[in-house]
Amino acid sequence: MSTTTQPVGAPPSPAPPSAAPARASSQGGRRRRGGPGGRALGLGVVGLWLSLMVLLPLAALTVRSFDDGLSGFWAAVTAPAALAALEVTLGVSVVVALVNAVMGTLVAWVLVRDEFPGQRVVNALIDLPFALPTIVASIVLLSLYGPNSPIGVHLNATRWGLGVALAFVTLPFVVRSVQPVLIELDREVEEAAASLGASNTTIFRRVVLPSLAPAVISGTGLAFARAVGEYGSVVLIGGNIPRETQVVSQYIQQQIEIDSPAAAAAVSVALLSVSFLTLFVLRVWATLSQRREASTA
Amino acid sequence: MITVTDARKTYGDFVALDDVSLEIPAGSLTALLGPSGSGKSTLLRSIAGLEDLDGGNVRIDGEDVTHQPPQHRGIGFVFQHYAAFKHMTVRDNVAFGLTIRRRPKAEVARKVDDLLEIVGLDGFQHRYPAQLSGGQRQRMALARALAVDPQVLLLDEPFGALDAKVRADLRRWLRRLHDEVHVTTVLVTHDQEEALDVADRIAVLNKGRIEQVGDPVSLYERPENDFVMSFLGAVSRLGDRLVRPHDIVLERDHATAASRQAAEGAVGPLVAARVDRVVRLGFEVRIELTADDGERFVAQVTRAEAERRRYTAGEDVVAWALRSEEPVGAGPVA
Amino acid sequence: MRTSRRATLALRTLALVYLVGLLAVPIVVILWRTFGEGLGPFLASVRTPAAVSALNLSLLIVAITVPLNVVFGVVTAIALARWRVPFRGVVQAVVDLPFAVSPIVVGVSLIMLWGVGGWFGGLEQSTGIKVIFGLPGMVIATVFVTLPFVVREVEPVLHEIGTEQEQAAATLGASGWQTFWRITLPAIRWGLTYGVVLTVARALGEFGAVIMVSSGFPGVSQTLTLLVHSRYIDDHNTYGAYTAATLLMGLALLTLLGMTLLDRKRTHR
Ligand SMILES: Nc1ncnc2c1ncn2[C@@H]1O[C@H](COP(=O)(O)OP(=O)(O)O)[C@@H](O)[C@H]1O
Ligand SMILES: [Mg+2]
Repeated sequence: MSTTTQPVGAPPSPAPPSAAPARASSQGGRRRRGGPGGRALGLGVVGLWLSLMVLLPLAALTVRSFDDGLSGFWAAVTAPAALAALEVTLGVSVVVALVNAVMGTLVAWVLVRDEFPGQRVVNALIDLPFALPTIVASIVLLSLYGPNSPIGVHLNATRWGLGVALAFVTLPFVVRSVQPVLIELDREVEEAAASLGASNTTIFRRVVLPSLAPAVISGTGLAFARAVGEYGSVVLIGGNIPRETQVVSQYIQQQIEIDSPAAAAAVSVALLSVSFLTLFVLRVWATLSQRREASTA
Repeated sequence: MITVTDARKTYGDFVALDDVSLEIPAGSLTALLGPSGSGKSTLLRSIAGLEDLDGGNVRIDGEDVTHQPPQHRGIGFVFQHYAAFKHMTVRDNVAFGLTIRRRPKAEVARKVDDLLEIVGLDGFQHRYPAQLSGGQRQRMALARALAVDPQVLLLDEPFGALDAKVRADLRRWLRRLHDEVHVTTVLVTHDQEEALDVADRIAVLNKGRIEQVGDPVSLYERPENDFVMSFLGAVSRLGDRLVRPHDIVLERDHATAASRQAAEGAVGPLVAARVDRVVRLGFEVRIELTADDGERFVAQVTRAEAERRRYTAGEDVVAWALRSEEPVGAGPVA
Repeated sequence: MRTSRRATLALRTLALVYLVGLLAVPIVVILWRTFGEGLGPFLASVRTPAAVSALNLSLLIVAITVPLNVVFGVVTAIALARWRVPFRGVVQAVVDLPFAVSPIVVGVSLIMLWGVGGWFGGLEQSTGIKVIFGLPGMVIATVFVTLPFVVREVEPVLHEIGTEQEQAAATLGASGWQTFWRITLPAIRWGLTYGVVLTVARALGEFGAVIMVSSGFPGVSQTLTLLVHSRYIDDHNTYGAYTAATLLMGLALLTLLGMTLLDRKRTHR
């Protein structure tokens, strides 16, 4: 299974694996294809396609979120129910991201350093949440932790339920981002540390963790960005109880249903800003740490 | 015949081709020789139409092709890294240009078989490039370029990615092929030995300019400047001149040296030096010396000569050169 | 770092318990719920007219989305990898945008653009084409969320194969189109296929964006994912929701299998 490619439904990786060394010639005027006329047409098509499909809808969203003016925007975003939904979403997302930071690293560790029968199946299973439709994830979790739970655990319509759903859909991010780094890790450094008398805890904290940290953080950030916008997997198990378990995306949907599109658009813009900010910070941070890496290398 | 006139190519501020003019006679095998980054590939690719010139023009057999795309220039091009079509068999690779031209199947088959035989790949028709060695891949690429009967054949460091032995074999093979096919051929290389070995004409490039054009012997023996001199072979500095190490003669004393130099009709300085080390390299013997003025230099003599004279370390000698055309610094500095 | 046997076992157990509790057990339970009463009821449940129509609609959306994404995705990838693109960084970011947008926000954005009172809302009045609450809306929503896949899979391959093969084809007389069909396309075929598989998986499974722009009438405008939702929420037909979900899961597993196989092809060329 792929450990390097962008998985289904994954937000943009903050540090895209630098595509094979772009040859100097590949972007110069070193070859012809269809002549400059054909190329201009191609560029026009690309521009039109991206504008129509991606930019225009988001532009319409942003502009129309101010239909009722700046004050209307502000009122919509700071409405108590909206704030409550934001709070629930961010709170649960942070916790889930942190849980998966730890558990994802642990799972990656076990998959790389341990050896046990069935390991390959387990490895393939990690990608399941990416391949599984979110609504199916919701139903699947409901069948175990829902009202008819065979084990008597009822998480339906609780924040625990939200957490489980989000943990499910964001599980692969940290695992898949840490795994390749762990595989590439130079074990001689650990052995050197051990020969110098360092205990396992010390080796992990001082030698292994610093090398893994960038991957853990980037995976965690991606998981968080995914969690804040999640809808399908929480829609059945979450319960949609305002101020309790209603997440932002559910709140936005509700605004559309009660026919207040401007409020829906405003809160959407707020939610978008959170995702973008997360990904932006991750990207800047990745660039900086890459530079640090390069300068010490 | 290829005529390049005032070809100019810049990348931002960087001048890759600085008003280069060059004539490549029909049927010749011309080498573009120069250090890495001197603009050889840029010149070759401009001839091919893979690069657009910023100024000047290119003619092939009298026709101005400066603004023609590569498809219409009647060229064959061979790349350093083969540019094999990885998803096609050897046969489909070679047939590519003919298929594009919609030639009849029978003709294509006959031609491909002929070419594969010429390049020594018959029996490999159904292999994929990944199943060939580097040398075989390059021969396939050559057959592919020749299949469309190009007016000119352009090769960009075609043997650069191969190991030394295969490289030497292939370039001799290319020479023989050229003697049979007689297509006007331009070969880019940074390896002077390769250029001297296969080409009948060499154009030496440096920093986007042509330093000298000529046949291998005249370039080696009558370089017009220090750059060409040093680039075409090993050099030693004797007094104020650059000389080839194998042109240096060592005598026991000044008088003998002066009389022998006069007898040979040679000119140039007589340099007193001391032998530091004598290194036997099979057929040749390299003698490392330090001149009176502290300059270190190397002389190369045959084994027979060395046996006769029995040079030893610490011995004082006087050196002169059989050939030294011009004082150092007469031409552009290397 | 050598861990003791006990530590190794402890770590392994912890990891497996997490995975089993989160992934494995729920799936076993739903399979048991679905097939516990035998194959007959399952088949009956996924063969109701509403279910069949939902499957057909899902497949129809896939059938429209995939060619659109292939054509425009490949052109975009070629532009990014081979041409001089003004504002390349911005274009790259726009291509990645859909990954970062919540499905619900996608839906709201499309309503703002195409819906009644939206920027393009006049289209519906003048032509009668219903975008929001019609098939076009569901297709556009699906295209939005799947747009990056083909570009992101094909562009690195284009960089990797470089331009020499294409140049060689040009020197041999091939036109731009011939070079594309005979050289470039075969070279990117596995990357492209992988991108298509990802697109299909996401298109079949998309829920949030589609529910926002669909009228959701059973048998008319319900996709498979909407069917799961409405059976559970509206019909209180838990069993029906499980069976439809299992059907979707089967498709997802096929995708997963396809991804695994393709990945091997892609990397061991
Ligand atoms: N696409 C390009 N962009 C910028 N500089 C280039 C490009 N192609 C070549 N150059 C520069 O032009 C010079 C000549 O290049 P080239 O002709 O490839 O040299 P050679 O083949 O002699 O090694 C080099 O210094 C190279 O860096
Ligand atoms: Mg070169």
